[in-house]
Amino acid sequence: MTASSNYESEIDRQICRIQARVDSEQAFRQLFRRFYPALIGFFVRRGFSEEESRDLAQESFIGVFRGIERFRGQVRFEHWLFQIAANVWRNELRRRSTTKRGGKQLAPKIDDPSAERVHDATASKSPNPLRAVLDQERLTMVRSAMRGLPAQMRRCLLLRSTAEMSYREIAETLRLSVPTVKTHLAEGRRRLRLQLSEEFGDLSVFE
Amino acid sequence: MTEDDTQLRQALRDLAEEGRSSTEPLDAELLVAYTNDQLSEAEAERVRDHLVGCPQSRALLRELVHFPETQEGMAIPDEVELEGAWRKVRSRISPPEAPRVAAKTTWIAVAAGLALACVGLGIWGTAQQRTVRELSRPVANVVIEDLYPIGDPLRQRETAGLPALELGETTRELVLVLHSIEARPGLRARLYRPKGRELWNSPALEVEPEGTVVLAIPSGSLSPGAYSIALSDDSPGERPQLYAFEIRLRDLPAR
Repeated sequence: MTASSNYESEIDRQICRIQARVDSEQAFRQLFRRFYPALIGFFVRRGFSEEESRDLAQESFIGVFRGIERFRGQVRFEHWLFQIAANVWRNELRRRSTTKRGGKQLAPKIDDPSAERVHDATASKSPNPLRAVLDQERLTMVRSAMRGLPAQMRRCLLLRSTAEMSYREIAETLRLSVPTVKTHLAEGRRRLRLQLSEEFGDLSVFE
Repeated sequence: MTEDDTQLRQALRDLAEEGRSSTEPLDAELLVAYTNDQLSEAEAERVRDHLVGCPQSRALLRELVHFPETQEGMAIPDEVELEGAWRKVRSRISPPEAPRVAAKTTWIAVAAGLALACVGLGIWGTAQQRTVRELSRPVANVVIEDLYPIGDPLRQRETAGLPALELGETTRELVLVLHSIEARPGLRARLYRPKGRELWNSPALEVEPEGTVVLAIPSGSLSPGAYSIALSDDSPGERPQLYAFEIRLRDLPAR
Protein backbone atom coordinates (compact mmCIF):
# COMPACT_ATOMS: atom_id res chain seq x y z
CA MET A 1 0.00 0.00 0.00
CA THR A 2 1.39 3.41 -0.93
CA ALA A 3 1.73 6.38 1.39
CA SER A 4 -0.93 8.18 -0.60
CA SER A 5 -3.48 5.40 -0.28
CA ASN A 6 -2.67 5.14 3.43
CA TYR A 7 -3.39 8.83 3.74
CA GLU A 8 -6.65 8.54 1.83
CA SER A 9 -7.84 5.52 3.73
CA GLU A 10 -7.09 7.32 6.98
CA ILE A 11 -9.27 10.26 5.91
CA ASP A 12 -11.96 7.85 4.71
CA ARG A 13 -11.88 6.14 8.08
CA GLN A 14 -12.40 9.43 9.90
CA ILE A 15 -15.30 10.31 7.62
CA CYS A 16 -16.90 6.92 8.18
CA ARG A 17 -16.58 7.32 11.91
CA ILE A 18 -18.25 10.72 11.77
CA GLN A 19 -21.04 9.50 9.54
CA ALA A 20 -21.60 6.41 11.64
CA ARG A 21 -21.37 8.54 14.82
CA VAL A 22 -18.75 6.22 16.23
CA ASP A 23 -16.30 8.30 18.21
CA SER A 24 -17.20 11.04 15.77
CA GLU A 25 -15.89 13.94 17.83
CA GLN A 26 -12.40 12.49 17.90
CA ALA A 27 -12.56 11.75 14.17
CA PHE A 28 -13.69 15.26 13.36
CA ARG A 29 -10.97 16.67 15.56
CA GLN A 30 -8.39 14.78 13.55
CA LEU A 31 -9.76 16.08 10.27
CA PHE A 32 -9.78 19.58 11.71
CA ARG A 33 -6.16 19.35 12.82
CA ARG A 34 -5.15 17.95 9.43
CA PHE A 35 -6.80 20.59 7.26
CA TYR A 36 -7.21 23.72 9.39
CA PRO A 37 -3.76 25.14 8.55
CA ALA A 38 -4.35 24.69 4.82
CA LEU A 39 -7.68 26.47 5.07
CA ILE A 40 -6.09 29.40 6.87
CA GLY A 41 -3.63 29.61 3.98
CA PHE A 42 -6.51 29.55 1.51
CA PHE A 43 -8.03 32.69 3.06
CA VAL A 44 -4.71 34.44 3.70
CA ARG A 45 -3.91 34.13 0.00
CA ARG A 46 -7.20 35.83 -0.76
CA GLY A 47 -6.26 38.97 1.09
CA PHE A 48 -7.77 38.32 4.51
CA SER A 49 -5.79 39.01 7.65
CA GLU A 50 -4.54 36.00 9.58
CA GLU A 51 -7.15 36.54 12.25
CA GLU A 52 -9.94 36.78 9.71
CA SER A 53 -8.57 33.76 7.94
CA ARG A 54 -8.68 31.71 11.12
CA ASP A 55 -12.32 32.69 11.66
CA LEU A 56 -13.21 31.83 8.07
CA ALA A 57 -11.34 28.52 8.26
CA GLN A 58 -13.34 27.68 11.37
CA GLU A 59 -16.52 28.74 9.60
CA SER A 60 -15.62 26.37 6.78
CA PHE A 61 -15.29 23.52 9.25
CA ILE A 62 -18.72 24.27 10.66
CA GLY A 63 -19.95 23.86 7.07
CA VAL A 64 -18.05 20.59 6.78
CA PHE A 65 -19.64 19.29 9.96
CA ARG A 66 -23.11 20.28 8.81
CA GLY A 67 -22.71 18.70 5.42
CA ILE A 68 -20.63 15.62 6.13
CA GLU A 69 -23.67 13.38 6.54
CA ARG A 70 -24.42 14.05 2.89
CA PHE A 71 -20.84 13.56 1.68
CA ARG A 72 -20.84 10.41 -0.43
CA GLY A 73 -17.28 10.42 -1.69
CA GLN A 74 -18.07 11.37 -5.31
CA VAL A 75 -14.98 13.58 -5.12
CA ARG A 76 -11.98 13.52 -2.82
CA PHE A 77 -12.67 14.89 0.64
CA GLU A 78 -10.03 17.57 0.13
CA HIS A 79 -11.82 18.81 -2.98
CA TRP A 80 -15.13 18.86 -1.17
CA LEU A 81 -13.53 20.78 1.70
CA PHE A 82 -11.97 23.19 -0.77
CA GLN A 83 -15.37 23.74 -2.34
CA ILE A 84 -16.87 24.61 1.04
CA ALA A 85 -14.02 27.02 1.79
CA ALA A 86 -14.52 28.67 -1.62
CA ASN A 87 -18.22 29.11 -0.83
CA VAL A 88 -17.38 30.64 2.55
CA TRP A 89 -14.95 32.98 0.77
CA ARG A 90 -17.57 34.06 -1.77
CA ASN A 91 -20.23 34.53 0.89
CA GLU A 92 -17.84 36.64 2.91
CA LEU A 93 -17.05 38.82 -0.12
CA ARG A 94 -20.76 39.18 -0.81
CA ARG A 95 -21.48 40.03 2.81
CA ARG A 96 -18.75 42.65 2.86
CA SER A 97 -19.81 44.21 -0.39
CA THR A 98 -23.38 44.38 0.93
CA THR A 99 -22.59 45.82 4.33
CA LYS A 100 -19.65 47.87 3.01
CA ARG A 101 -17.94 47.38 6.31
CA GLY A 102 -14.28 47.24 7.04
CA GLY A 103 -13.20 49.59 4.27
CA LYS A 104 -10.50 47.16 3.27
CA GLN A 105 -10.31 46.24 -0.36
CA LEU A 106 -10.84 42.54 -0.55
CA ALA A 107 -10.88 41.89 -4.20
CA PRO A 108 -9.44 38.42 -4.44
CA LYS A 109 -5.71 38.60 -4.23
CA ILE A 110 -4.58 36.86 -7.33
CA ASP A 111 -2.08 34.23 -6.47
CA ASP A 112 -1.15 33.73 -10.06
CA PRO A 113 2.30 34.89 -11.08
CA SER A 114 1.09 35.09 -14.63
CA ALA A 115 -1.43 37.75 -13.63
CA GLU A 116 1.37 40.06 -12.58
CA ARG A 117 3.55 39.19 -15.49
CA VAL A 118 0.94 40.35 -17.91
CA HIS A 119 0.83 43.86 -16.47
CA ASP A 120 4.28 44.75 -17.77
CA ALA A 121 3.14 44.55 -21.35
CA THR A 122 1.21 47.56 -22.53
CA ALA A 123 -0.50 48.03 -25.81
CA SER A 124 1.21 50.33 -28.24
CA LYS A 125 -0.87 53.20 -29.38
CA SER A 126 0.50 54.65 -32.56
CA PRO A 127 -0.13 58.37 -33.10
CA ASN A 128 0.20 57.86 -36.86
CA PRO A 129 -3.21 56.98 -38.45
CA LEU A 130 -1.60 55.04 -41.34
CA ARG A 131 0.50 53.08 -38.88
CA ALA A 132 -2.59 52.43 -36.81
CA VAL A 133 -4.35 50.88 -39.81
CA LEU A 134 -1.33 48.71 -40.58
CA ASP A 135 -1.12 47.65 -36.96
CA GLN A 136 -4.75 46.71 -37.03
CA GLU A 137 -4.24 44.57 -40.11
CA ARG A 138 -1.33 42.78 -38.49
CA LEU A 139 -3.42 42.06 -35.40
CA THR A 140 -6.21 40.70 -37.55
CA MET A 141 -3.66 38.35 -39.12
CA VAL A 142 -2.61 37.11 -35.68
CA ARG A 143 -6.16 36.52 -34.57
CA SER A 144 -7.02 34.75 -37.77
CA ALA A 145 -3.94 32.52 -37.57
CA MET A 146 -4.65 31.64 -33.95
CA ARG A 147 -8.28 30.86 -34.64
CA GLY A 148 -7.23 28.50 -37.40
CA LEU A 149 -5.43 26.26 -34.91
CA PRO A 150 -7.03 23.31 -33.08
CA ALA A 151 -8.56 24.45 -29.78
CA GLN A 152 -6.11 22.74 -27.40
CA MET A 153 -3.12 23.88 -29.47
CA ARG A 154 -4.41 27.45 -29.40
CA ARG A 155 -4.99 27.30 -25.64
CA CYS A 156 -1.47 25.99 -25.04
CA LEU A 157 0.00 28.85 -27.06
CA LEU A 158 -2.16 31.44 -25.33
CA LEU A 159 -1.26 30.22 -21.85
CA ARG A 160 2.40 30.11 -22.79
CA SER A 161 2.48 33.56 -24.38
CA THR A 162 0.09 35.57 -22.19
CA ALA A 163 0.49 33.88 -18.81
CA GLU A 164 4.04 32.62 -19.35
CA MET A 165 3.12 29.30 -17.83
CA SER A 166 5.46 26.33 -17.68
CA TYR A 167 4.67 23.14 -19.56
CA ARG A 168 3.59 21.51 -16.32
CA GLU A 169 1.31 24.42 -15.40
CA ILE A 170 -0.31 24.34 -18.84
CA ALA A 171 -0.78 20.59 -18.60
CA GLU A 172 -2.39 20.96 -15.20
CA THR A 173 -4.70 23.72 -16.36
CA LEU A 174 -5.89 21.98 -19.52
CA ARG A 175 -5.75 18.46 -18.03
CA LEU A 176 -3.26 17.27 -20.61
CA SER A 177 0.01 15.43 -20.24
CA VAL A 178 3.24 17.42 -20.38
CA PRO A 179 4.40 15.65 -23.60
CA THR A 180 1.08 16.56 -25.24
CA VAL A 181 1.57 20.18 -24.26
CA LYS A 182 5.09 20.15 -25.71
CA THR A 183 3.79 18.66 -28.95
CA HIS A 184 0.98 21.20 -29.21
CA LEU A 185 3.39 24.08 -28.60
CA ALA A 186 5.98 22.87 -31.11
CA GLU A 187 3.42 22.26 -33.81
CA GLY A 188 1.58 25.51 -33.04
CA ARG A 189 4.79 27.55 -33.28
CA ARG A 190 5.65 25.89 -36.56
CA ARG A 191 2.25 26.68 -38.05
CA LEU A 192 2.26 30.27 -36.80
CA ARG A 193 5.76 30.91 -38.12
CA LEU A 194 4.60 29.88 -41.56
CA GLN A 195 1.87 32.49 -41.44
CA LEU A 196 3.24 35.28 -39.29
CA SER A 197 7.04 35.33 -39.34
CA GLU A 198 7.21 37.87 -42.13
CA GLU A 199 5.22 40.31 -40.05
CA PHE A 200 6.36 39.40 -36.56
CA GLY A 201 9.87 37.97 -36.94
CA ASP A 202 10.81 35.01 -34.74
CA LEU A 203 7.60 35.01 -32.66
CA SER A 204 9.61 34.76 -29.47
CA VAL A 205 6.53 35.44 -27.35
CA PHE A 206 5.55 31.78 -27.83
CA GLU A 207 8.89 30.40 -26.62
CA MET B 1 10.71 43.57 -25.53
CA THR B 2 10.20 44.94 -29.02
CA GLU B 3 7.16 46.90 -30.06
CA ASP B 4 6.13 43.95 -32.23
CA ASP B 5 6.22 41.63 -29.24
CA THR B 6 4.20 44.04 -27.14
CA GLN B 7 1.62 44.43 -29.84
CA LEU B 8 1.44 40.69 -30.45
CA ARG B 9 1.15 39.91 -26.78
CA GLN B 10 -1.70 42.40 -26.41
CA ALA B 11 -3.55 40.81 -29.33
CA LEU B 12 -3.11 37.37 -27.79
CA ARG B 13 -4.30 38.61 -24.42
CA ASP B 14 -7.44 40.02 -26.01
CA LEU B 15 -7.99 36.73 -27.77
CA ALA B 16 -7.54 34.80 -24.52
CA GLU B 17 -10.05 37.00 -22.73
CA GLU B 18 -12.64 36.44 -25.41
CA GLY B 19 -12.97 32.83 -24.26
CA ARG B 20 -14.15 33.81 -20.78
CA SER B 21 -17.79 33.08 -20.09
CA SER B 22 -17.95 35.97 -17.58
CA THR B 23 -15.68 38.37 -15.75
CA GLU B 24 -16.17 36.37 -12.55
CA PRO B 25 -13.87 33.52 -11.61
CA LEU B 26 -15.35 30.05 -12.05
CA ASP B 27 -17.20 28.43 -9.17
CA ALA B 28 -15.11 26.03 -7.11
CA GLU B 29 -17.85 23.44 -7.61
CA LEU B 30 -17.35 23.60 -11.37
CA LEU B 31 -13.60 23.38 -11.00
CA VAL B 32 -13.91 20.38 -8.70
CA ALA B 33 -16.09 18.68 -11.30
CA TYR B 34 -13.57 19.64 -14.01
CA THR B 35 -10.68 18.26 -11.99
CA ASN B 36 -12.55 15.02 -11.36
CA ASP B 37 -13.57 14.58 -15.03
CA GLN B 38 -17.23 14.88 -14.14
CA LEU B 39 -18.15 17.40 -16.85
CA SER B 40 -19.38 16.69 -20.34
CA GLU B 41 -16.83 17.38 -23.06
CA ALA B 42 -18.70 20.54 -24.08
CA GLU B 43 -18.72 21.83 -20.50
CA ALA B 44 -15.04 20.97 -20.06
CA GLU B 45 -14.24 22.90 -23.26
CA ARG B 46 -16.03 25.97 -21.90
CA VAL B 47 -14.10 25.69 -18.63
CA ARG B 48 -10.79 25.44 -20.54
CA ASP B 49 -11.62 28.50 -22.61
CA HIS B 50 -12.49 30.43 -19.48
CA LEU B 51 -9.31 29.32 -17.72
CA VAL B 52 -7.17 30.56 -20.59
CA GLY B 53 -8.51 34.09 -20.15
CA CYS B 54 -9.04 34.23 -16.39
CA PRO B 55 -6.03 34.40 -14.02
CA GLN B 56 -8.26 34.17 -10.92
CA SER B 57 -9.80 30.93 -12.07
CA ARG B 58 -6.39 29.53 -12.92
CA ALA B 59 -5.14 30.43 -9.46
CA LEU B 60 -8.16 28.77 -7.87
CA LEU B 61 -7.68 25.66 -10.00
CA ARG B 62 -4.00 25.41 -9.19
CA GLU B 63 -4.73 25.71 -5.52
CA LEU B 64 -7.46 23.10 -5.78
CA VAL B 65 -5.19 20.65 -7.54
CA HIS B 66 -2.54 21.02 -4.87
CA PHE B 67 -4.82 21.45 -1.86
CA PRO B 68 -3.96 20.99 0.97
CA GLU B 69 -0.26 20.95 0.10
CA THR B 70 -0.09 24.59 -1.07
CA GLN B 71 0.77 26.32 2.13
CA GLU B 72 3.30 28.95 1.18
CA GLY B 73 2.77 32.41 2.61
CA MET B 74 0.91 31.30 5.69
CA ALA B 75 1.68 31.03 9.34
CA ILE B 76 1.27 27.46 10.57
CA PRO B 77 -0.62 27.47 13.87
CA ASP B 78 1.13 25.93 16.82
CA GLU B 79 -0.33 23.22 19.03
CA VAL B 80 -1.90 25.63 21.52
CA GLU B 81 -3.56 27.66 18.82
CA LEU B 82 -4.73 24.56 17.00
CA GLU B 83 -6.36 23.17 20.13
CA GLY B 84 -7.95 26.54 20.93
CA ALA B 85 -9.41 26.76 17.44
CA TRP B 86 -10.73 23.21 17.70
CA ARG B 87 -12.47 24.05 20.98
CA LYS B 88 -14.12 27.05 19.34
CA VAL B 89 -15.39 24.94 16.46
CA ARG B 90 -16.45 22.14 18.80
CA SER B 91 -18.47 24.55 20.92
CA ARG B 92 -20.45 25.47 17.81
CA ILE B 93 -21.06 21.99 16.54
CA SER B 94 -21.91 20.39 19.90
CA PRO B 95 -23.44 22.87 22.37
CA PRO B 96 -22.20 22.81 25.98
CA GLU B 97 -24.27 20.81 28.42
CA ALA B 98 -24.57 21.43 32.16
CA PRO B 99 -26.20 24.79 33.00
CA ARG B 100 -28.35 24.94 29.92
CA VAL B 101 -29.70 21.43 30.08
CA ALA B 102 -32.90 22.33 32.01
CA ALA B 103 -33.81 25.23 29.74
CA LYS B 104 -32.90 23.17 26.73
CA THR B 105 -35.06 20.28 27.90
CA THR B 106 -38.03 22.61 28.38
CA TRP B 107 -37.63 23.97 24.91
CA ILE B 108 -37.28 20.51 23.49
CA ALA B 109 -40.49 19.47 25.26
CA VAL B 110 -42.35 22.51 23.88
CA ALA B 111 -40.96 21.89 20.43
CA ALA B 112 -41.87 18.21 20.62
CA GLY B 113 -45.44 19.12 21.70
CA LEU B 114 -45.77 21.52 18.81
CA ALA B 115 -44.32 18.98 16.44
CA LEU B 116 -46.83 16.34 17.64
CA ALA B 117 -49.70 18.79 17.20
CA CYS B 118 -48.46 19.57 13.68
CA VAL B 119 -48.19 15.88 12.86
CA GLY B 120 -51.74 15.29 14.19
CA LEU B 121 -53.11 18.17 12.15
CA GLY B 122 -51.20 16.91 9.15
CA ILE B 123 -52.68 13.40 9.47
CA TRP B 124 -56.20 14.79 9.95
CA GLY B 125 -55.77 17.10 6.95
CA THR B 126 -54.45 14.25 4.81
CA ALA B 127 -57.42 12.07 5.81
CA GLN B 128 -59.82 14.86 4.88
CA GLN B 129 -58.09 15.36 1.56
CA ARG B 130 -58.26 11.65 0.85
CA THR B 131 -62.02 11.62 1.59
CA VAL B 132 -62.56 14.57 -0.73
CA ARG B 133 -60.45 12.90 -3.41
CA GLU B 134 -62.38 9.66 -3.07
CA LEU B 135 -65.71 11.41 -3.23
CA SER B 136 -64.73 13.49 -6.20
CA ARG B 137 -63.01 10.67 -8.11
CA PRO B 138 -64.84 10.00 -11.39
CA VAL B 139 -66.48 6.57 -11.33
CA ALA B 140 -65.63 4.43 -14.32
CA ASN B 141 -68.86 3.84 -16.17
CA VAL B 142 -67.41 1.50 -18.76
CA VAL B 143 -66.01 -1.97 -18.10
CA ILE B 144 -63.56 -3.21 -20.69
CA GLU B 145 -62.52 -6.84 -21.10
CA ASP B 146 -60.41 -8.72 -23.64
CA LEU B 147 -61.90 -12.00 -24.86
CA TYR B 148 -60.55 -14.82 -27.01
CA PRO B 149 -62.79 -17.31 -28.82
CA ILE B 150 -63.48 -20.70 -27.24
CA GLY B 151 -60.79 -23.06 -28.50
CA ASP B 152 -58.38 -20.27 -29.38
CA PRO B 153 -54.89 -21.10 -28.09
CA LEU B 154 -54.57 -17.52 -26.87
CA ARG B 155 -57.60 -17.85 -24.65
CA GLN B 156 -55.80 -17.47 -21.36
CA ARG B 157 -58.66 -18.05 -19.01
CA GLU B 158 -59.92 -21.25 -20.50
CA THR B 159 -58.66 -23.36 -17.67
CA ALA B 160 -59.51 -20.83 -14.99
CA GLY B 161 -63.18 -20.75 -15.83
CA LEU B 162 -65.16 -17.94 -17.36
CA PRO B 163 -63.98 -14.39 -17.02
CA ALA B 164 -65.96 -12.93 -14.15
CA LEU B 165 -66.69 -9.28 -14.72
CA GLU B 166 -67.88 -6.79 -12.18
CA LEU B 167 -70.29 -4.13 -13.29
CA GLY B 168 -70.63 -1.21 -10.91
CA GLU B 169 -73.89 0.54 -10.15
CA THR B 170 -73.11 3.29 -12.59
CA THR B 171 -71.59 1.12 -15.35
CA ARG B 172 -73.25 2.09 -18.59
CA GLU B 173 -71.52 -0.15 -21.05
CA LEU B 174 -69.69 -3.42 -21.14
CA VAL B 175 -67.00 -3.13 -23.77
CA LEU B 176 -65.61 -6.42 -25.02
CA VAL B 177 -62.53 -6.52 -27.20
CA LEU B 178 -62.84 -9.74 -29.17
CA HIS B 179 -59.53 -11.07 -30.47
CA SER B 180 -58.42 -13.48 -33.23
CA ILE B 181 -61.25 -12.48 -35.57
CA GLU B 182 -60.83 -12.81 -39.31
CA ALA B 183 -62.30 -9.94 -41.29
CA ARG B 184 -65.40 -10.66 -43.33
CA PRO B 185 -68.36 -8.55 -44.41
CA GLY B 186 -71.61 -8.45 -42.46
CA LEU B 187 -70.17 -9.77 -39.23
CA ARG B 188 -72.55 -9.48 -36.28
CA ALA B 189 -72.50 -10.46 -32.63
CA ARG B 190 -75.32 -11.91 -30.57
CA LEU B 191 -75.50 -12.19 -26.82
CA TYR B 192 -77.24 -15.25 -25.39
CA ARG B 193 -78.24 -16.50 -22.00
CA PRO B 194 -77.17 -20.13 -21.37
CA LYS B 195 -80.56 -21.46 -22.28
CA GLY B 196 -80.29 -19.92 -25.69
CA ARG B 197 -82.40 -16.80 -25.23
CA GLU B 198 -81.01 -14.02 -27.40
CA LEU B 199 -80.66 -10.85 -25.35
CA TRP B 200 -78.97 -8.45 -27.66
CA ASN B 201 -77.50 -8.27 -31.14
CA SER B 202 -75.03 -5.88 -32.57
CA PRO B 203 -74.99 -3.78 -35.70
CA ALA B 204 -72.54 -4.84 -38.45
CA LEU B 205 -69.05 -5.06 -36.95
CA GLU B 206 -65.79 -3.86 -38.33
CA VAL B 207 -62.70 -5.98 -37.79
CA GLU B 208 -59.61 -3.95 -36.95
CA PRO B 209 -56.42 -4.66 -38.91
CA GLU B 210 -54.96 -6.49 -35.91
CA GLY B 211 -57.93 -8.90 -35.88
CA THR B 212 -60.01 -7.40 -33.11
CA VAL B 213 -63.63 -6.39 -32.86
CA VAL B 214 -64.87 -3.96 -30.25
CA LEU B 215 -68.28 -4.76 -28.88
CA ALA B 216 -70.11 -2.20 -26.73
CA ILE B 217 -73.06 -3.77 -24.91
CA PRO B 218 -75.41 -1.52 -22.92
CA SER B 219 -75.37 -2.74 -19.34
CA GLY B 220 -79.08 -2.06 -18.78
CA SER B 221 -80.12 -5.45 -20.10
CA LEU B 222 -77.49 -7.40 -18.19
CA SER B 223 -77.77 -9.12 -14.85
CA PRO B 224 -75.39 -11.40 -12.93
CA GLY B 225 -74.81 -14.78 -14.49
CA ALA B 226 -73.22 -16.52 -17.49
CA TYR B 227 -73.55 -15.39 -21.08
CA SER B 228 -72.33 -16.55 -24.43
CA ILE B 229 -71.53 -14.44 -27.44
CA ALA B 230 -71.67 -15.73 -30.99
CA LEU B 231 -70.23 -14.06 -34.03
CA SER B 232 -71.74 -14.92 -37.40
CA ASP B 233 -72.21 -13.16 -40.69
CA ASP B 234 -75.61 -11.94 -41.74
CA SER B 235 -75.87 -14.13 -44.78
CA PRO B 236 -79.42 -15.38 -45.34
CA GLY B 237 -80.47 -18.77 -44.02
CA GLU B 238 -78.68 -20.80 -41.34
CA ARG B 239 -76.17 -18.14 -40.13
CA PRO B 240 -73.43 -20.55 -38.96
CA GLN B 241 -71.64 -19.49 -35.80
CA LEU B 242 -68.10 -18.41 -36.67
CA TYR B 243 -66.75 -17.58 -33.23
CA ALA B 244 -68.05 -18.24 -29.74
CA PHE B 245 -67.15 -16.46 -26.50
CA GLU B 246 -68.21 -16.78 -22.89
CA ILE B 247 -68.43 -14.34 -20.02
CA ARG B 248 -69.86 -14.29 -16.54
CA LEU B 249 -71.08 -11.24 -14.69
CA ARG B 250 -70.38 -11.36 -11.00
CA ASP B 251 -73.25 -11.25 -8.63
CA LEU B 252 -72.79 -8.04 -6.73
CA PRO B 253 -74.98 -7.28 -3.73
CA ALA B 254 -75.16 -3.64 -4.84
CA ARG B 255 -76.73 -4.55 -8.14
